[in-house]
Amino acid sequence: MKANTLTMAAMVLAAATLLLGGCKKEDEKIKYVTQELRFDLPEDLTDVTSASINLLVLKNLNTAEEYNIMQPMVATSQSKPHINGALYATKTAEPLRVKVTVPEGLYNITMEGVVLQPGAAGLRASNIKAYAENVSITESDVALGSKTLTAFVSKNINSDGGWLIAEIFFAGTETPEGKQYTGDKYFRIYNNSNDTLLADGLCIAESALLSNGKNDYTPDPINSGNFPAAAIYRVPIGVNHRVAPGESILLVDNAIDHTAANSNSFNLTKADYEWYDESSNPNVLDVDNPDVPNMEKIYCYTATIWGPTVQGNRAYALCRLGNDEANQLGAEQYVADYKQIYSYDAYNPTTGEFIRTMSFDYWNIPHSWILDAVNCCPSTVWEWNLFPPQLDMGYTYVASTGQDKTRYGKSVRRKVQHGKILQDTNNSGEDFLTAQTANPYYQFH
Amino acid sequence: MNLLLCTAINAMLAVSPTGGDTASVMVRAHEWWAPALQLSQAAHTSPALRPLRHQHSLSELNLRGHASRTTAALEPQTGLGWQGIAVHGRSHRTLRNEATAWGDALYQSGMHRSVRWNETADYQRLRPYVAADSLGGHLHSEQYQFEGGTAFGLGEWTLGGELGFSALQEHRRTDPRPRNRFGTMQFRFGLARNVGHRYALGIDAAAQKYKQRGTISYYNERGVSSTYHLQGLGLSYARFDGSNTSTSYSGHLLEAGLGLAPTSANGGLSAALRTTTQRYEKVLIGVNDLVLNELRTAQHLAEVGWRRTDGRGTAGVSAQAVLSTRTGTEVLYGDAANNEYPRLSSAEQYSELALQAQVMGLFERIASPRWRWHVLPGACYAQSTEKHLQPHNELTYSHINAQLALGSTWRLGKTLLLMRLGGAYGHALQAEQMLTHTVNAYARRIETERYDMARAHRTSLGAQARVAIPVGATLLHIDIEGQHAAYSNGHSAWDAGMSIGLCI
Repeated sequence: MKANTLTMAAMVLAAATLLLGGCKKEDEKIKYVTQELRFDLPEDLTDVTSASINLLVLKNLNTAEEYNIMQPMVATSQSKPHINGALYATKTAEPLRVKVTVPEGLYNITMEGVVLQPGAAGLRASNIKAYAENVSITESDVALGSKTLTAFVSKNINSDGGWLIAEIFFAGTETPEGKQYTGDKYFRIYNNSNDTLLADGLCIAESALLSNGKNDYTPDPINSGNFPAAAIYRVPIGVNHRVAPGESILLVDNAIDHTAANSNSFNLTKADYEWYDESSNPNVLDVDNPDVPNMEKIYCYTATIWGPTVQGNRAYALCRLGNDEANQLGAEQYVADYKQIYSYDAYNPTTGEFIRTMSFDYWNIPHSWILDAVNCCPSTVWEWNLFPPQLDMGYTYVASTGQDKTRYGKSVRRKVQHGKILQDTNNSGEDFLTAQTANPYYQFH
Repeated sequence: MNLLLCTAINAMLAVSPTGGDTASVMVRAHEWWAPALQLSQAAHTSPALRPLRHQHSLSELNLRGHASRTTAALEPQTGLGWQGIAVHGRSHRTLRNEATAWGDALYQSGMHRSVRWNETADYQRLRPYVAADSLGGHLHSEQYQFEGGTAFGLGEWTLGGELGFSALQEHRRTDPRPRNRFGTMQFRFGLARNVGHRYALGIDAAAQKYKQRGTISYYNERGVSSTYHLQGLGLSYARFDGSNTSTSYSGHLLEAGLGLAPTSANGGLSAALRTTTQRYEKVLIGVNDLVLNELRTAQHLAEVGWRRTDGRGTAGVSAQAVLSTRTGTEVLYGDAANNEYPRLSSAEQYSELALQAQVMGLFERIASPRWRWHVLPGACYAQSTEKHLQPHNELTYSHINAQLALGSTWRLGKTLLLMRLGGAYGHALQAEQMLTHTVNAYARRIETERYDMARAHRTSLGAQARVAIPVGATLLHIDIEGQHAAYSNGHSAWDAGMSIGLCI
């Protein structure tokens, strides 16, 4: 009996060993794929002498791990060399091609490079960038060929620009009694140039889409050349409001002394402009300070009163209605000519069955009209940026979730580059300080 | 639920103690409390072999208070201690016609102290795929458990079956407020046949269904903390971290075993071979019920033992080896347009391989009709390798432990007095950690604490005392126990319990 028992035990242990031995090897547990990335050079760059890549980062959205091709991970006995890009610089205007070997997954891809062109004093260098988000890289993607990204000429961090959005306060405040207070939202618009600029006709536009809710819209709301807006207000034309370099204008919801009702708020009677809405609901009326001029309402989706979304999950554009500063569209003409139907097909997420086509009327702002763009989204729920990377390749935030009460009283504020110049690299994730204590009269310099 | 518990216990106590068991409650309880029962426990897992575990019938109702504290833990996710009470009833009755029935009911209420980096119940089953935040805190829990079975003989054969149910609810009274509920339902079937005159060979199979649902809420949203969906070793599923606070788990357990047990009270050889597999899915509720992770575990156990009992006492030895594997898969999703998440691929990122081998001996001597003593020496070797492939994080450690317990039982008049003293020393043979990336600094601190505890040597001392007094046809017993452990890294732990019970 004893011998039989021991034999049986040995058999089971042997079976267990075989079972474990039959497990996958580590290399088979994670699928690595080699994907070619193609970067087309900007179309407006001609006579390119050479182009090269300085930085290429693939961020895995599942693990948050970043694969930096310019600093390949050194292979050890414990790790697989997951980057082996065949990187080269081109001597012509041919696209740059790189092969990367990464685990299958969903990635955000960032490329930075340099293009050399002949200039009057020898070769002239231009910085280029390319950015794409939510790019799937799998075996089936590799079979489809290269992933193509189009590069654009990037803005120099030290370049002085024109108008900028310097601060956005969309979260509102909280009363000492713990109640939400929303009439004190504001925008700071800043002259980031070395010249006095005319503020007449500057528009603030809020995106119609949410940065934490991606849908497969037609037309493409990011890459078709237009920004779909749902609320547009304009500094009146003809007021001849001139702003000196390093100075700003303050655009507010209600230009009143909010501290009378809420000691946690601000006195906004010194605002330059307020936006005012004729409400269709007598129970929800806007407040008008006759001493502060109202902005011109171009269009707004709500029939009552508007304020920037308190969850901070939309994008904002500073723009003019037309490329010609001196000859902008009137509100009626714009509303009549720039309406666009955006639609997507909704499916039952469980069964996959088509439910219906969802259609919405939004108002397009051509990207060429946009002076500055800022993507906003609570940090943990981001799904997509609402501007193409040429305008803004990052996003900023005041809280991790849209329901976080710690966001009250906090704004996003642009960093100071040097002196009177604020940072503007067209990347809100880099250019803005997050969750700053809101101060409509903050001194940038 | 409390009414149900009382009903179950009453039902157990009402089982007729017939079938020829005429021994006094003192004798029967003494057999149940004998140290010999600590040897070769796996051999009697089959319900068809269960009647051989006990020679006598006994029903017992126990009320126990228990508290423990530790200043650091190898698994901080299970907390830094426990305090609570439990009502436990159990009964094992030999019936007429070679039939046996047994039952077990437990109600437990208490609080896990300072649970960190975990907001999901049943951590040891579901690890590493739990929801977590960097705040944590005490967790109150309430648990119900019922189990009942029967076995009956058919000539040389014995058939047995067992049905069990358990439920737990867990919550916290301050933010963050997890509310977790899980339940299990299990069935076990066994068949045994006498082999010769001294042994019975049995097989058994069991299946268990498991479900858990949990959500984390904040009454005061000020200071809302991100919820992380852990992937093991300080890593999380970054894409879904944040405000996804509702999760569910479902899965099953399958178990099969072979056991050999002596039929004689004098003992003999015993052996067991068991294998258990489990499979669970973690689902993110609110994001289209996405399956985030798949978890598979396997456990293989082999046990061999020998025991001889005669008028002078008992001598025995048992050896057991357990090999466990745990593998976890992360499901990868593509670009989520229109609230649809296309499944891109999956990666078997997490693995754990653990081996535990132990040897235990027993020498019990009946020195006189009123005094007996015993020695329980033991040794154990344990090793574990836990790994996440990409990013590559790893924790490997091995321990060897030696323990010795000395016990003595006296009969003083009608009173039974039992005392046991024990000591153990655990030596950390090896501990290595690799952390190439963690989701945040807090996760790194947790992993560092685990590593510090894995490489610490442990010395512990414990004592246990029991007084049993016959009260009519019943036996009232009071137990008190305590243990203190000191770690070479300066940490310490203690554990204390007291109970009062009634046997019939």
